[in-house]
Amino acid sequence: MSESNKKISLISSEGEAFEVSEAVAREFEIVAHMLEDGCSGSSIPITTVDSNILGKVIEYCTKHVEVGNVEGNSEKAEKDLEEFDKRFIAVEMNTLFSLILAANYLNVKGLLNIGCQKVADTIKDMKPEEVRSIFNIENDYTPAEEEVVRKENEWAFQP
Amino acid sequence: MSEAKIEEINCEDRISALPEELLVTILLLVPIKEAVATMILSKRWRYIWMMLPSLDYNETNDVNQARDWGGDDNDDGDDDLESKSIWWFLDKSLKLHKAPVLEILLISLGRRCPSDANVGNWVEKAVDRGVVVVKFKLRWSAGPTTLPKSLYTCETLKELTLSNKVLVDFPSSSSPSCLPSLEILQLSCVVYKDEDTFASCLVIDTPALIKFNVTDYSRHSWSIGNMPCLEEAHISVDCLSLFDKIITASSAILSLVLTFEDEMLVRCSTLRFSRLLRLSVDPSRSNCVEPLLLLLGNTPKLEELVVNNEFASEPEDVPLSWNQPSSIPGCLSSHLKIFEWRYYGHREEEEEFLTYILANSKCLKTVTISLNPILDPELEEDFIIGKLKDIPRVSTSSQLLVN
Repeated sequence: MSESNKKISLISSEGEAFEVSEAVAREFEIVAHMLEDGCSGSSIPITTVDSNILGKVIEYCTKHVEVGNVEGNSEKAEKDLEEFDKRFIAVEMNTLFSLILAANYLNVKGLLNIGCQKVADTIKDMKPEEVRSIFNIENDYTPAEEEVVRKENEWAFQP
Repeated sequence: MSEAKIEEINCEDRISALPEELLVTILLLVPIKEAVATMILSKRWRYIWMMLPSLDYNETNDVNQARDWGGDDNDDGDDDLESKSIWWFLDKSLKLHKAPVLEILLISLGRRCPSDANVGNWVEKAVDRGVVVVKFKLRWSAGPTTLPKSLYTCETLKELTLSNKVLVDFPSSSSPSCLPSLEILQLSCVVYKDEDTFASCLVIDTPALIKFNVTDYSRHSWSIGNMPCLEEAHISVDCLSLFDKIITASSAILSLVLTFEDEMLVRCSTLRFSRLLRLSVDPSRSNCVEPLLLLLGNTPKLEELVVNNEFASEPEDVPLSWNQPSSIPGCLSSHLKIFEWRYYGHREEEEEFLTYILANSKCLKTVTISLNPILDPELEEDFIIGKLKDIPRVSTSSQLLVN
Protein backbone atom coordinates (compact mmCIF):
# COMPACT_ATOMS: atom_id res chain seq x y z
CA MET A 1 0.00 0.00 0.00
CA SER A 2 1.49 3.29 -1.08
CA GLU A 3 -0.66 5.40 1.23
CA SER A 4 0.97 3.89 4.29
CA ASN A 5 4.25 5.60 3.36
CA LYS A 6 2.71 9.04 3.75
CA LYS A 7 3.09 10.53 7.21
CA ILE A 8 0.57 12.71 8.99
CA SER A 9 1.05 14.71 12.19
CA LEU A 10 -1.73 14.66 14.75
CA ILE A 11 -1.47 17.58 17.17
CA SER A 12 -2.73 17.07 20.72
CA SER A 13 -4.48 19.73 22.85
CA GLU A 14 -1.09 20.62 24.37
CA GLY A 15 0.34 21.18 20.89
CA GLU A 16 2.44 18.03 20.86
CA ALA A 17 2.81 16.45 17.40
CA PHE A 18 2.39 12.70 16.89
CA GLU A 19 3.67 11.50 13.54
CA VAL A 20 1.75 8.51 12.22
CA SER A 21 1.29 6.75 8.90
CA GLU A 22 -1.74 7.73 6.88
CA ALA A 23 -3.17 4.23 7.37
CA VAL A 24 -3.15 4.71 11.15
CA ALA A 25 -4.57 8.24 10.90
CA ARG A 26 -7.36 6.87 8.73
CA GLU A 27 -8.44 4.63 11.62
CA PHE A 28 -9.75 7.90 13.09
CA GLU A 29 -12.84 8.21 10.96
CA ILE A 30 -12.92 11.92 11.58
CA VAL A 31 -9.48 12.18 9.95
CA ALA A 32 -10.45 9.84 7.12
CA HIS A 33 -13.37 12.14 6.32
CA MET A 34 -11.13 15.21 6.40
CA LEU A 35 -8.72 13.54 3.97
CA GLU A 36 -11.56 12.55 1.68
CA ASP A 37 -12.90 16.08 1.74
CA GLY A 38 -9.64 17.23 0.23
CA CYS A 39 -7.93 18.39 3.41
CA SER A 40 -4.38 17.77 2.24
CA GLY A 41 -2.52 19.33 5.15
CA SER A 42 0.03 17.06 6.73
CA SER A 43 -0.77 18.14 10.29
CA ILE A 44 -4.19 17.84 11.84
CA PRO A 45 -5.05 19.44 15.18
CA ILE A 46 -6.97 17.23 17.63
CA THR A 47 -7.80 20.00 20.05
CA THR A 48 -10.03 18.11 22.45
CA VAL A 49 -7.66 15.23 23.20
CA ASP A 50 -4.56 15.54 25.38
CA SER A 51 -1.17 13.97 24.63
CA ASN A 52 -1.54 11.09 27.07
CA ILE A 53 -4.86 9.93 25.62
CA LEU A 54 -3.96 10.70 21.99
CA GLY A 55 -0.83 8.57 22.42
CA LYS A 56 -2.96 5.69 23.68
CA VAL A 57 -5.50 5.99 20.87
CA ILE A 58 -2.63 5.95 18.35
CA GLU A 59 -1.17 2.87 20.05
CA TYR A 60 -4.55 1.14 19.68
CA CYS A 61 -4.96 2.09 16.01
CA THR A 62 -1.36 1.19 15.14
CA LYS A 63 -1.80 -2.32 16.54
CA HIS A 64 -5.08 -2.80 14.68
CA VAL A 65 -3.61 -1.57 11.38
CA GLU A 66 -0.57 -3.86 11.81
CA VAL A 67 -2.70 -6.94 12.45
CA GLY A 68 -5.07 -5.99 9.63
CA ASN A 69 -2.17 -5.90 7.17
CA VAL A 70 -0.94 -9.42 7.91
CA GLU A 71 -2.56 -11.90 5.57
CA GLY A 72 -3.46 -15.43 6.54
CA ASN A 73 -3.22 -16.99 10.01
CA SER A 74 -6.32 -15.00 10.81
CA GLU A 75 -7.54 -17.06 13.75
CA LYS A 76 -4.35 -16.58 15.73
CA ALA A 77 -4.18 -12.92 14.77
CA GLU A 78 -7.73 -12.40 15.94
CA LYS A 79 -6.97 -14.03 19.28
CA ASP A 80 -3.86 -11.89 19.72
CA LEU A 81 -5.88 -8.80 18.96
CA GLU A 82 -8.50 -9.81 21.49
CA GLU A 83 -5.78 -10.24 24.11
CA PHE A 84 -4.33 -6.87 23.18
CA ASP A 85 -7.74 -5.18 23.49
CA LYS A 86 -8.30 -6.77 26.88
CA ARG A 87 -4.97 -5.53 28.22
CA PHE A 88 -5.33 -2.17 26.52
CA ILE A 89 -8.66 -1.35 28.11
CA ALA A 90 -7.71 -2.52 31.63
CA VAL A 91 -7.08 1.04 32.82
CA GLU A 92 -8.33 3.07 35.75
CA MET A 93 -11.72 4.78 35.48
CA ASN A 94 -10.48 8.26 34.63
CA THR A 95 -8.43 7.06 31.68
CA LEU A 96 -11.25 4.75 30.59
CA PHE A 97 -13.72 7.63 30.29
CA SER A 98 -11.16 9.84 28.57
CA LEU A 99 -10.57 7.05 26.05
CA ILE A 100 -14.32 6.62 25.47
CA LEU A 101 -14.78 10.34 24.87
CA ALA A 102 -11.76 10.50 22.56
CA ALA A 103 -12.89 7.41 20.63
CA ASN A 104 -16.34 8.93 20.29
CA TYR A 105 -14.98 12.29 19.08
CA LEU A 106 -12.40 10.79 16.71
CA ASN A 107 -14.87 8.11 15.66
CA VAL A 108 -12.68 5.06 16.32
CA LYS A 109 -15.46 2.47 16.47
CA GLY A 110 -13.48 -0.51 17.75
CA LEU A 111 -12.05 1.44 20.67
CA LEU A 112 -15.43 2.96 21.50
CA ASN A 113 -16.92 -0.54 21.56
CA ILE A 114 -14.36 -2.05 23.92
CA GLY A 115 -14.55 1.03 26.16
CA CYS A 116 -18.33 0.92 26.45
CA GLN A 117 -18.22 -2.85 26.93
CA LYS A 118 -15.76 -2.40 29.81
CA VAL A 119 -18.14 0.04 31.54
CA ALA A 120 -21.14 -2.21 30.85
CA ASP A 121 -19.31 -5.23 32.31
CA THR A 122 -18.68 -3.19 35.46
CA ILE A 123 -22.36 -2.26 35.79
CA LYS A 124 -23.52 -5.83 35.19
CA ASP A 125 -24.47 -7.84 38.29
CA MET A 126 -24.12 -4.79 40.54
CA LYS A 127 -26.65 -3.29 42.88
CA PRO A 128 -27.41 0.41 42.22
CA GLU A 129 -25.58 1.36 45.44
CA GLU A 130 -22.47 -0.46 44.24
CA VAL A 131 -22.66 1.19 40.81
CA ARG A 132 -22.89 4.59 42.49
CA SER A 133 -19.83 3.98 44.60
CA ILE A 134 -17.68 2.52 41.79
CA PHE A 135 -18.38 5.41 39.44
CA ASN A 136 -18.67 8.12 42.15
CA ILE A 137 -22.19 8.93 41.06
CA GLU A 138 -23.69 11.46 43.43
CA ASN A 139 -27.20 10.49 44.42
CA ASP A 140 -29.09 13.77 44.04
CA TYR A 141 -32.47 12.31 44.90
CA THR A 142 -33.60 13.29 48.37
CA PRO A 143 -34.49 10.21 50.44
CA ALA A 144 -38.16 11.08 49.91
CA GLU A 145 -37.72 11.42 46.14
CA GLU A 146 -35.84 8.14 45.94
CA GLU A 147 -38.59 6.46 47.87
CA VAL A 148 -41.18 7.75 45.37
CA VAL A 149 -39.17 6.52 42.36
CA ARG A 150 -38.78 3.10 43.98
CA LYS A 151 -42.46 2.92 44.88
CA GLU A 152 -43.67 3.99 41.43
CA ASN A 153 -41.36 1.51 39.79
CA GLU A 154 -41.55 -1.38 42.21
CA TRP A 155 -41.66 -3.79 39.26
CA ALA A 156 -38.16 -2.71 38.22
CA PHE A 157 -36.49 -3.63 41.51
CA GLN A 158 -37.99 -7.05 42.12
CA PRO A 159 -35.60 -9.96 41.80
CA MET B 1 -2.99 0.76 50.04
CA SER B 2 -2.30 1.87 46.52
CA GLU B 3 -5.84 0.97 45.44
CA ALA B 4 -7.32 3.18 48.13
CA LYS B 5 -5.13 6.00 46.91
CA ILE B 6 -6.39 5.68 43.35
CA GLU B 7 -9.98 5.83 44.53
CA GLU B 8 -9.24 8.96 46.47
CA ILE B 9 -7.82 10.71 43.43
CA ASN B 10 -10.60 9.45 41.21
CA CYS B 11 -13.50 11.18 42.90
CA GLU B 12 -15.06 12.73 39.83
CA ASP B 13 -18.31 11.35 38.39
CA ARG B 14 -17.05 10.85 34.86
CA ILE B 15 -19.81 8.48 33.76
CA SER B 16 -22.75 10.83 34.38
CA ALA B 17 -20.94 13.53 32.38
CA LEU B 18 -21.02 11.40 29.23
CA PRO B 19 -23.47 12.55 26.54
CA GLU B 20 -26.79 10.72 26.57
CA GLU B 21 -26.06 8.83 23.36
CA LEU B 22 -22.97 7.24 24.97
CA LEU B 23 -24.90 6.30 28.10
CA VAL B 24 -27.47 4.65 25.83
CA THR B 25 -24.65 2.80 24.01
CA ILE B 26 -23.35 1.52 27.34
CA LEU B 27 -26.78 0.49 28.65
CA LEU B 28 -27.40 -1.44 25.42
CA LEU B 29 -24.59 -3.74 26.56
CA VAL B 30 -26.14 -4.35 29.99
CA PRO B 31 -28.94 -6.91 30.60
CA ILE B 32 -32.32 -5.19 30.46
CA LYS B 33 -33.18 -5.54 34.16
CA GLU B 34 -29.95 -3.89 35.28
CA ALA B 35 -30.26 -1.23 32.58
CA VAL B 36 -33.74 -0.27 33.82
CA ALA B 37 -32.60 -0.28 37.45
CA THR B 38 -30.10 2.52 36.67
CA MET B 39 -33.05 4.92 36.97
CA ILE B 40 -32.43 4.98 40.72
CA LEU B 41 -28.76 6.05 40.49
CA SER B 42 -29.47 9.77 40.24
CA LYS B 43 -31.78 12.23 38.48
CA ARG B 44 -29.47 12.20 35.45
CA TRP B 45 -30.14 8.50 35.04
CA ARG B 46 -33.90 8.56 35.62
CA TYR B 47 -34.93 8.49 31.96
CA ILE B 48 -31.83 7.26 30.08
CA TRP B 49 -33.00 3.62 29.85
CA MET B 50 -36.24 4.75 28.22
CA MET B 51 -34.26 5.77 25.13
CA LEU B 52 -32.80 2.31 24.42
CA PRO B 53 -33.47 1.44 20.75
CA SER B 54 -33.10 -2.28 21.39
CA LEU B 55 -34.86 -4.33 24.07
CA ASP B 56 -34.17 -7.95 24.91
CA TYR B 57 -36.55 -9.70 27.30
CA ASN B 58 -35.49 -13.26 27.82
CA GLU B 59 -37.12 -15.36 30.50
CA THR B 60 -34.58 -18.12 30.24
CA ASN B 61 -31.79 -15.65 31.07
CA ASP B 62 -33.12 -15.35 34.58
CA VAL B 63 -32.58 -18.92 35.48
CA ASN B 64 -29.65 -20.38 37.29
CA GLN B 65 -27.25 -21.59 34.61
CA ALA B 66 -26.82 -24.92 36.40
CA ARG B 67 -30.29 -25.89 35.24
CA ASP B 68 -29.27 -25.90 31.64
CA TRP B 69 -26.57 -28.43 32.29
CA GLY B 70 -29.01 -31.09 33.43
CA GLY B 71 -29.66 -33.61 30.70
CA ASP B 72 -33.34 -34.11 31.49
CA ASP B 73 -36.31 -33.43 29.27
CA ASN B 74 -36.45 -29.88 30.41
CA ASP B 75 -35.52 -28.43 27.06
CA ASP B 76 -35.64 -24.74 27.80
CA GLY B 77 -34.55 -24.58 31.41
CA ASP B 78 -37.26 -22.16 32.42
CA ASP B 79 -39.61 -24.26 34.48
CA ASP B 80 -38.49 -22.47 37.62
CA LEU B 81 -42.07 -21.71 38.55
CA GLU B 82 -41.01 -20.10 41.82
CA SER B 83 -39.68 -16.94 40.24
CA LYS B 84 -41.86 -14.48 38.43
CA SER B 85 -42.22 -14.37 34.67
CA ILE B 86 -40.46 -11.53 32.94
CA TRP B 87 -43.86 -10.68 31.46
CA TRP B 88 -44.75 -8.09 34.13
CA PHE B 89 -41.38 -6.43 33.81
CA LEU B 90 -41.80 -6.33 30.03
CA ASP B 91 -45.32 -4.92 30.25
CA LYS B 92 -44.41 -2.16 32.73
CA SER B 93 -41.14 -1.13 31.13
CA LEU B 94 -42.56 -0.96 27.60
CA LYS B 95 -45.35 1.28 28.88
CA LEU B 96 -42.73 3.80 30.05
CA HIS B 97 -40.27 3.33 27.20
CA LYS B 98 -40.25 6.34 24.94
CA ALA B 99 -37.49 6.11 22.32
CA PRO B 100 -39.04 7.35 19.06
CA VAL B 101 -37.68 4.33 17.20
CA LEU B 102 -37.59 0.84 18.65
CA GLU B 103 -35.30 -0.96 16.22
CA ILE B 104 -34.93 -4.33 17.88
CA LEU B 105 -37.45 -6.18 20.04
CA LEU B 106 -36.50 -9.63 21.32
CA ILE B 107 -39.03 -11.44 23.49
CA SER B 108 -38.71 -14.95 24.87
CA LEU B 109 -41.47 -15.98 27.27
CA GLY B 110 -41.56 -19.31 29.06
CA ARG B 111 -44.06 -21.40 30.95
CA ARG B 112 -44.26 -18.87 33.78
CA CYS B 113 -45.89 -16.33 31.48
CA PRO B 114 -49.54 -15.79 32.55
CA SER B 115 -51.93 -17.17 29.96
CA ASP B 116 -54.00 -13.97 29.88
CA ALA B 117 -51.03 -11.79 28.93
CA ASN B 118 -51.65 -9.71 25.84
CA VAL B 119 -48.34 -10.57 24.25
CA GLY B 120 -49.24 -9.31 20.80
CA ASN B 121 -49.88 -5.80 22.10
CA TRP B 122 -46.18 -4.97 22.40
CA VAL B 123 -45.36 -6.40 19.01
CA GLU B 124 -47.91 -3.98 17.60
CA LYS B 125 -46.32 -1.06 19.51
CA ALA B 126 -42.96 -2.01 18.03
CA VAL B 127 -44.43 -2.07 14.52
CA ASP B 128 -45.77 1.44 15.13
CA ARG B 129 -42.26 2.56 16.10
CA GLY B 130 -40.49 1.37 12.98
CA VAL B 131 -39.15 -1.93 14.26
CA VAL B 132 -36.45 -3.57 12.13
CA VAL B 133 -35.81 -6.84 13.98
CA VAL B 134 -38.41 -8.89 15.86
CA LYS B 135 -37.63 -12.20 17.53
CA PHE B 136 -40.56 -13.67 19.37
CA LYS B 137 -40.51 -16.97 21.21
CA LEU B 138 -43.50 -18.10 23.23
CA ARG B 139 -43.48 -21.26 25.32
CA TRP B 140 -46.32 -20.52 27.73
CA SER B 141 -48.78 -23.14 28.92
CA ALA B 142 -51.71 -21.64 27.00
CA GLY B 143 -52.49 -22.45 23.38
CA PRO B 144 -50.92 -20.89 20.31
CA THR B 145 -51.64 -17.20 19.90
CA THR B 146 -51.89 -14.99 16.87
CA LEU B 147 -49.85 -11.83 16.51
CA PRO B 148 -51.33 -8.56 15.27
CA LYS B 149 -51.95 -8.42 11.53
CA SER B 150 -49.84 -5.26 11.26
CA LEU B 151 -46.70 -7.33 11.92
CA TYR B 152 -47.09 -9.11 8.60
CA THR B 153 -47.37 -5.91 6.63
CA CYS B 154 -44.72 -3.94 8.55
CA GLU B 155 -42.72 -1.94 6.06
CA THR B 156 -39.61 -1.43 8.22
CA LEU B 157 -39.19 -5.05 9.32
CA LYS B 158 -36.04 -6.69 7.94
CA GLU B 159 -35.64 -9.70 10.22
CA LEU B 160 -38.37 -11.82 11.78
CA THR B 161 -38.02 -14.91 13.95
CA LEU B 162 -41.06 -16.68 15.35
CA SER B 163 -40.82 -19.73 17.60
CA ASN B 164 -43.12 -22.21 19.29
CA LYS B 165 -46.66 -21.22 20.30
CA VAL B 166 -47.16 -18.62 17.65
CA LEU B 167 -49.98 -19.08 15.21
CA VAL B 168 -48.39 -17.86 12.03
CA ASP B 169 -50.85 -16.13 9.82
CA PHE B 170 -49.30 -14.59 6.75
CA PRO B 171 -51.82 -12.62 4.74
CA SER B 172 -52.91 -14.21 1.50
CA SER B 173 -50.66 -13.71 -1.47
CA SER B 174 -53.19 -11.41 -3.07
CA SER B 175 -52.56 -8.73 -0.47
CA PRO B 176 -50.31 -6.07 -1.93
CA SER B 177 -47.83 -5.44 0.85
CA CYS B 178 -46.61 -8.46 2.71
CA LEU B 179 -43.40 -7.57 4.51
CA PRO B 180 -41.86 -5.65 1.64
CA SER B 181 -38.47 -5.16 3.37
CA LEU B 182 -38.12 -8.57 5.03
CA GLU B 183 -34.70 -10.11 4.33
CA ILE B 184 -34.42 -12.83 6.96
CA LEU B 185 -37.26 -15.09 8.09
CA GLN B 186 -36.91 -17.87 10.63
CA LEU B 187 -39.79 -20.10 11.66
CA SER B 188 -39.05 -22.60 14.38
CA CYS B 189 -41.67 -25.15 15.46
CA VAL B 190 -44.49 -22.62 15.06
CA VAL B 191 -48.13 -23.45 14.45
CA TYR B 192 -49.84 -22.69 11.17
CA LYS B 193 -53.28 -21.33 10.63
CA ASP B 194 -56.05 -23.87 9.96
CA GLU B 195 -53.69 -26.76 10.29
CA ASP B 196 -56.51 -29.26 10.58
CA THR B 197 -57.80 -28.59 7.15
CA PHE B 198 -55.55 -30.26 4.69
CA ALA B 199 -56.40 -27.97 1.84
CA SER B 200 -55.06 -24.75 3.31
CA CYS B 201 -51.39 -24.30 3.61
CA LEU B 202 -49.07 -21.49 4.45
CA VAL B 203 -47.90 -19.46 1.54
CA ILE B 204 -45.25 -16.92 2.31
CA ASP B 205 -44.98 -14.07 -0.14
CA THR B 206 -41.99 -11.92 0.66
CA PRO B 207 -40.46 -10.14 -2.30
CA ALA B 208 -37.20 -9.04 -0.62
CA LEU B 209 -36.41 -12.20 1.35
CA ILE B 210 -32.74 -13.22 1.19
CA LYS B 211 -32.47 -15.80 3.95
CA PHE B 212 -35.11 -18.32 4.97
CA ASN B 213 -34.70 -20.70 7.86
CA VAL B 214 -37.39 -23.18 8.87
CA THR B 215 -37.51 -25.96 11.45
CA ASP B 216 -40.70 -27.96 11.58
CA TYR B 217 -41.31 -31.52 12.68
CA SER B 218 -45.08 -31.47 12.82
CA ARG B 219 -45.85 -32.65 9.29
CA HIS B 220 -47.64 -29.52 8.24
CA SER B 221 -48.64 -28.96 4.71
CA TRP B 222 -47.30 -25.72 3.45
CA SER B 223 -45.37 -24.14 0.69
CA ILE B 224 -43.16 -21.24 -0.19
CA GLY B 225 -44.58 -18.54 -2.36
CA ASN B 226 -42.95 -15.71 -4.17
CA MET B 227 -39.35 -15.24 -2.98
CA PRO B 228 -37.50 -13.96 -6.04
CA CYS B 229 -34.43 -12.75 -4.11
CA LEU B 230 -33.95 -15.83 -1.92
CA GLU B 231 -30.26 -16.65 -1.67
CA GLU B 232 -29.96 -18.86 1.35
CA ALA B 233 -32.31 -21.47 2.77
CA HIS B 234 -31.93 -23.71 5.84
CA ILE B 235 -34.66 -26.26 5.73
CA SER B 236 -35.10 -28.82 8.48
CA VAL B 237 -38.51 -30.42 8.10
CA ASP B 238 -40.20 -33.77 7.83
CA CYS B 239 -43.00 -32.75 5.57
CA LEU B 240 -43.29 -34.03 2.03
CA SER B 241 -45.33 -31.30 0.44
CA LEU B 242 -42.87 -28.54 1.18
CA PHE B 243 -41.23 -28.62 -2.18
CA ASP B 244 -44.37 -28.45 -4.24
CA LYS B 245 -43.81 -24.79 -4.84
CA ILE B 246 -40.24 -24.16 -3.85
CA ILE B 247 -39.41 -24.55 -7.49
CA THR B 248 -40.71 -21.05 -8.10
CA ALA B 249 -38.09 -19.75 -5.68
CA SER B 250 -35.33 -22.24 -6.31
CA SER B 251 -33.69 -20.78 -9.35
CA ALA B 252 -32.13 -17.88 -7.43
CA ILE B 253 -30.94 -19.80 -4.36
CA LEU B 254 -27.18 -19.66 -3.80
CA SER B 255 -26.94 -21.63 -0.59
CA LEU B 256 -29.07 -24.51 0.64
CA VAL B 257 -28.86 -26.50 3.87
CA LEU B 258 -31.19 -29.47 4.05
CA THR B 259 -31.93 -31.66 7.06
CA PHE B 260 -34.67 -34.17 6.45
CA GLU B 261 -35.70 -37.66 5.57
CA ASP B 262 -34.43 -39.25 2.44
CA GLU B 263 -37.76 -39.05 0.61
CA MET B 264 -37.36 -35.30 0.73
CA LEU B 265 -34.00 -35.55 -0.91
CA VAL B 266 -35.53 -37.69 -3.62
CA ARG B 267 -38.19 -35.07 -4.16
CA CYS B 268 -35.67 -32.27 -4.16
CA SER B 269 -33.41 -34.06 -6.59
CA THR B 270 -35.82 -33.43 -9.43
CA LEU B 271 -35.70 -29.64 -9.01
CA ARG B 272 -33.16 -27.54 -10.83
CA PHE B 273 -31.07 -25.08 -8.79
CA SER B 274 -29.35 -23.22 -11.56
CA ARG B 275 -27.40 -20.72 -9.41
CA LEU B 276 -26.72 -22.84 -6.32
CA LEU B 277 -23.14 -22.45 -5.05
CA ARG B 278 -23.27 -24.17 -1.65
CA LEU B 279 -25.16 -27.29 -0.68
CA SER B 280 -25.18 -28.95 2.70
CA VAL B 281 -27.18 -32.12 3.36
CA ASP B 282 -27.78 -33.84 6.70
CA PRO B 283 -29.48 -37.06 5.70
CA SER B 284 -31.35 -39.03 8.33
CA ARG B 285 -30.28 -42.31 6.76
CA SER B 286 -26.98 -42.88 5.14
CA ASN B 287 -28.21 -44.39 1.88
CA CYS B 288 -28.75 -41.01 0.33
CA VAL B 289 -26.14 -41.45 -2.36
CA GLU B 290 -28.37 -41.95 -5.38
CA PRO B 291 -30.75 -39.01 -4.78
CA LEU B 292 -27.76 -36.87 -3.86
CA LEU B 293 -26.11 -37.66 -7.18
CA LEU B 294 -29.36 -36.82 -8.96
CA LEU B 295 -29.45 -33.52 -7.11
CA LEU B 296 -25.84 -32.82 -8.10
CA GLY B 297 -26.96 -33.29 -11.69
CA ASN B 298 -29.37 -30.38 -11.16
CA THR B 299 -26.89 -27.99 -9.55
CA PRO B 300 -24.61 -27.08 -12.44
CA LYS B 301 -22.78 -24.23 -10.66
CA LEU B 302 -22.17 -25.96 -7.31
CA GLU B 303 -18.80 -25.05 -5.73
CA GLU B 304 -19.14 -26.37 -2.22
CA LEU B 305 -20.71 -29.61 -1.00
CA VAL B 306 -21.03 -30.69 2.63
CA VAL B 307 -22.36 -34.11 3.63
CA ASN B 308 -23.04 -34.38 7.35
CA ASN B 309 -23.75 -37.90 8.55
CA GLU B 310 -24.06 -36.90 12.20
CA PHE B 311 -27.76 -37.63 12.33
CA ALA B 312 -27.79 -40.59 10.01
CA SER B 313 -29.00 -43.79 11.58
CA GLU B 314 -26.95 -46.74 10.47
CA PRO B 315 -29.03 -49.71 9.43
CA GLU B 316 -26.17 -52.12 10.02
CA ASP B 317 -27.79 -55.19 8.55
CA VAL B 318 -29.20 -53.58 5.46
CA PRO B 319 -26.79 -53.80 2.57
CA LEU B 320 -26.62 -50.44 0.91
CA SER B 321 -25.83 -50.08 -2.69
CA TRP B 322 -25.90 -47.44 -5.37
CA ASN B 323 -25.34 -47.32 -9.06
CA GLN B 324 -23.14 -44.80 -10.73
CA PRO B 325 -25.20 -42.39 -12.83
CA SER B 326 -24.93 -42.74 -16.58
CA SER B 327 -23.34 -39.32 -16.89
CA ILE B 328 -21.12 -37.46 -14.46
CA PRO B 329 -22.88 -34.45 -12.85
CA GLY B 330 -21.67 -31.30 -14.59
CA CYS B 331 -20.74 -29.46 -11.38
CA LEU B 332 -18.13 -32.11 -10.59
CA SER B 333 -16.20 -31.66 -13.79
CA SER B 334 -16.34 -27.88 -13.90
CA HIS B 335 -17.18 -26.18 -10.57
CA LEU B 336 -16.88 -28.17 -7.34
CA LYS B 337 -13.96 -26.74 -5.33
CA ILE B 338 -14.72 -27.71 -1.76
CA PHE B 339 -15.96 -31.06 -0.51
CA GLU B 340 -16.51 -31.80 3.14
CA TRP B 341 -17.70 -35.00 4.77
CA ARG B 342 -18.58 -34.85 8.47
CA TYR B 343 -18.98 -38.07 10.48
CA TYR B 344 -17.42 -40.21 7.81
CA GLY B 345 -17.80 -43.85 8.88
CA HIS B 346 -15.65 -45.58 6.27
CA ARG B 347 -18.25 -48.14 5.34
CA GLU B 348 -17.97 -49.69 1.93
CA GLU B 349 -20.55 -47.54 0.16
CA GLU B 350 -19.20 -44.40 1.82
CA GLU B 351 -15.75 -45.18 0.53
CA GLU B 352 -17.16 -45.89 -2.94
CA PHE B 353 -18.99 -42.56 -3.02
CA LEU B 354 -15.91 -40.69 -1.86
CA THR B 355 -13.83 -42.43 -4.51
CA TYR B 356 -16.36 -41.40 -7.13
CA ILE B 357 -16.31 -37.73 -6.04
CA LEU B 358 -12.53 -37.59 -5.92
CA ALA B 359 -12.17 -39.35 -9.26
CA ASN B 360 -14.49 -36.94 -11.07
CA SER B 361 -14.10 -33.52 -9.45
CA LYS B 362 -11.57 -31.86 -11.69
CA CYS B 363 -11.47 -28.43 -9.98
CA LEU B 364 -11.36 -29.70 -6.41
CA LYS B 365 -9.15 -27.64 -4.08
CA THR B 366 -9.87 -28.93 -0.60
CA VAL B 367 -11.37 -32.12 0.72
CA THR B 368 -12.06 -32.22 4.45
CA ILE B 369 -13.08 -35.45 6.09
CA SER B 370 -14.00 -35.69 9.75
CA LEU B 371 -14.10 -39.25 11.00
CA ASN B 372 -17.10 -40.46 12.93
CA PRO B 373 -15.94 -40.76 16.55
CA ILE B 374 -17.97 -43.96 16.91
CA LEU B 375 -16.04 -45.88 14.30
CA ASP B 376 -16.06 -49.61 13.98
CA PRO B 377 -13.60 -50.57 16.74
CA GLU B 378 -11.90 -53.06 14.44
CA LEU B 379 -10.77 -50.22 12.20
CA GLU B 380 -7.61 -48.38 13.11
CA GLU B 381 -7.75 -44.63 12.63
CA ASP B 382 -4.28 -44.48 11.05
CA PHE B 383 -5.27 -47.25 8.70
CA ILE B 384 -8.34 -45.30 7.52
CA ILE B 385 -6.38 -42.09 7.12
CA GLY B 386 -3.83 -44.01 5.03
CA LYS B 387 -6.58 -45.47 2.89
CA LEU B 388 -8.23 -42.09 2.37
CA LYS B 389 -4.92 -40.62 1.26
CA ASP B 390 -4.51 -43.43 -1.25
CA ILE B 391 -7.78 -42.72 -3.05
CA PRO B 392 -6.80 -41.28 -6.43
CA ARG B 393 -7.76 -37.64 -6.99
CA VAL B 394 -8.22 -36.35 -10.51
CA SER B 395 -7.48 -32.84 -9.28
CA THR B 396 -3.84 -33.41 -8.37
CA SER B 397 -3.46 -29.99 -6.78
CA SER B 398 -6.22 -30.67 -4.26
CA GLN B 399 -5.53 -30.87 -0.53
CA LEU B 400 -6.89 -33.64 1.67
CA LEU B 401 -7.43 -32.90 5.36
CA VAL B 402 -8.53 -35.61 7.77
CA ASN B 403 -9.69 -34.68 11.28
